[in-house]
Amino acid sequence: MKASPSPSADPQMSAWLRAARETPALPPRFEQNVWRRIRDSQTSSPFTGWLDQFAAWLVKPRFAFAASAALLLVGFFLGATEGIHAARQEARTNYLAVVAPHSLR
Amino acid sequence: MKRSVLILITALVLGASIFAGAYWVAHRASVMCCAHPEDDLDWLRTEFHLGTAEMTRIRALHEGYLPKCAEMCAKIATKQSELDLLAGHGTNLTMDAQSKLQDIAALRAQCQARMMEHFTSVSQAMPPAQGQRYLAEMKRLTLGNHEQMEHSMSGNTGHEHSH
Repeated sequence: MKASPSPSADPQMSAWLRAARETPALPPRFEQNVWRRIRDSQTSSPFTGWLDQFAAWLVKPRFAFAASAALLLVGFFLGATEGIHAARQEARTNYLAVVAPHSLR
Repeated sequence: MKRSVLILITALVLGASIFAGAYWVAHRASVMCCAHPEDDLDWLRTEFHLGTAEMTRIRALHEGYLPKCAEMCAKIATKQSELDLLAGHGTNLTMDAQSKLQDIAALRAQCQARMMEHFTSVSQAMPPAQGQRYLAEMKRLTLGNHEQMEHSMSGNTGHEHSH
């Protein structure tokens, strides 16, 4: 069996294909936006660079999960500690209200 | 830049939500698990690490004290309402009103003496170290307010008045 020749091998065919392919219209103010982006990237402050790096670090799944777990644990621990303290205070107030009414304090 | 700020704000909001949610859940769970409002003596049991035998003795003392305390409080309340009636008629402090004030003060003193007796009995039903701690705490919580007020009225507050 004889193999058919590749279209890229034929320069005339390649020219027809290029002519037939439609070029999409550029979005409005495309060129201005490109220049603005170039300008912004050249004039970015050290703070912006730091912020971008930090944001990139934040979205890493490993960091996101670790930070969420840490916040969850700290929240649970503080909430439980405060809750136990509040329950003790309430129990003490109950006892005092019974044995030492306000008129005696 | 805008995207980074957006990520930062989202991360802060999410982090705060996670922390607040965990805190709230744990706080509620702890309060519900540790508080027993139906038992007046629950605080004594947990705060002073008391066993069943000690709690039985203290509960008997407590049950015996409550009716006496209620009776004295009712007497004070009656005298107080009589005083209110007398004081409500005019702007002068009459002899009758002064007499009622003295009656109320005497009843309060009597009631406080009984209360301190009860605290002493309860402290004696505890192990010595816990009993001392209980008595000190009760004195601080009940008579401490009067001491603070008297100190502040007598000028022993650590600062001098300028004239």
